[in-house]
Amino acid sequence: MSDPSLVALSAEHDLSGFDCGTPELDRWLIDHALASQKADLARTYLVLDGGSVAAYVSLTTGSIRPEAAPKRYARGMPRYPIPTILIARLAVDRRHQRQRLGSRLLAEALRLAVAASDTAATRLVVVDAIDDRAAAFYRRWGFIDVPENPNRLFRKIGDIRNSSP
Amino acid sequence: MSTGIRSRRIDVRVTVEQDAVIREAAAAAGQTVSAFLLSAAEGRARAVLDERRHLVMSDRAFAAFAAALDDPSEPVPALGELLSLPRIHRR
Repeated sequence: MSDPSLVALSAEHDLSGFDCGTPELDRWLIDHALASQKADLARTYLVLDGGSVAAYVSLTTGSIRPEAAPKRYARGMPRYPIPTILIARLAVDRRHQRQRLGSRLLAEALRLAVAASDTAATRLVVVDAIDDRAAAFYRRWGFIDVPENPNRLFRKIGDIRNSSP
Repeated sequence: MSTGIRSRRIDVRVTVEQDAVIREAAAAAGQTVSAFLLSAAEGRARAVLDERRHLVMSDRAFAAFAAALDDPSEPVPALGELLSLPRIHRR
């Protein structure tokens, strides 16, 4: 890979050949990413190598809340859901796998999450790991399992900020 | 639920039985079949997406989780290593 660049998804990008080995992640990029972006449901960033899409990540917002209805909340328990920035999907094209591109893209996604939190404070980054292998990838980079939510992992924005070299 | 111009079509084939039950339910709800199908499908679609974005914990787990967030942030070696990888520059 020469010198890849990170760009925000737009209508000009040709996504049709993307193949990461997980059809669900390919189809989402090819069929839904642009519509989700236009509807303000998710922001997608592409890694371009030459003209082709080498990887993508999509970011959105989410929350973590207790199951009880508000009136049943125990005394002292936070009453509101905790807002999160969600790394909903991250995928690397087969031709670019095993070169740490996914890790480098995760680092950029975390910088985007910190920047978003600098603008409108958010406490957590949550990642949605598509399978056990993806979950192991996030654990390797210091993410922690969200209790009771398989394949969802998190880290505090403050931890990310304080870990920047 | 949504505003905007309806410029797209979704075609779905149904059985005689499905057609009958949907028409009857739409009439009972006082909606056209098309409005009924659209509201049902859009509601379900948003619920599916919300399920992925919005996580739920038992009250006990949530209380412990929320309390732990107040611990001071500390540098995480693995994150430091991740953030030291070569940058992918914005264009």
